[in-house]
Amino acid sequence: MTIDALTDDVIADITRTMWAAIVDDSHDLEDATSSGEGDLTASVKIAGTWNGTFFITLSAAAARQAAARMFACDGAGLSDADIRDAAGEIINIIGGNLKALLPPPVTLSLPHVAHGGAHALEGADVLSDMHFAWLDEPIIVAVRRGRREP
Amino acid sequence: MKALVVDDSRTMRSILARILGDLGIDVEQAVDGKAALERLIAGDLPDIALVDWHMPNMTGIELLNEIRHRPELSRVRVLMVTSESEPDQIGIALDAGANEYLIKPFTPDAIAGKLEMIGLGEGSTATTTW
Repeated sequence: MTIDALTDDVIADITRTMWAAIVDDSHDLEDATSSGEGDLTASVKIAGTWNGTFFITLSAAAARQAAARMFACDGAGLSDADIRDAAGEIINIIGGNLKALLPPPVTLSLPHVAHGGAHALEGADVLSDMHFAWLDEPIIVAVRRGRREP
Repeated sequence: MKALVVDDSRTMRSILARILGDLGIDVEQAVDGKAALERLIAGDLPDIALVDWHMPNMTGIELLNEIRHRPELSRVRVLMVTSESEPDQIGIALDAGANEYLIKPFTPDAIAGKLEMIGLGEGSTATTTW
């Protein structure tokens, strides 16, 4: 099935809107040409009329700063589990809102969080790779079409 | 007023607890539907449960069904707070007995507005006797 709704522009727009709403409404996600591999990747899988995975990959500093803003703290006391949880919630919300663009029925998985730039799914079709910078830290939002586990 | 926040994400529980706390609401938390149901059955009922949809062990919809099918729990208001944003999903939750539905992300004003709609806002005459 062709999903015309999942264009780079739409993915970027929803990502920016969700980021501003849940992480930081005072510093926009800026376009970047390349963001490196990243240190932490959170993903949610979509299954149904369309099968694929939405990913967000963050640098360690971006992941900690984002979590700090979501927990409303300075970040020093956050555990690795807190940071992973926050990254998972970010992709859960971005993925949930992207899912609404897909023809029903489609289901959203629980978030999966892994260290490294795990968005490079072997055997999956690359639908989108969006590179951003936030507070000079790299963030990648990727969409892959396929059934492979992240 | 007392609220039970049910979400497997500690981040989201923290955000909701902060917002509800700022509204002067006492907040308890549960990590999934199963833990929430056990707490409710134990007897200390909240005025409202804010319930995520996708959680391990017991989903928000499964918890909602349990609440609405148990007479001793049925007075608990339920606000679904979830990233599920399709109209069909909203309909499923409302049909199952959710009082209101809020799509993530949300603002503090949106939470306050939903509480008002449910009859639990500031100045509301709706109260719960413990």
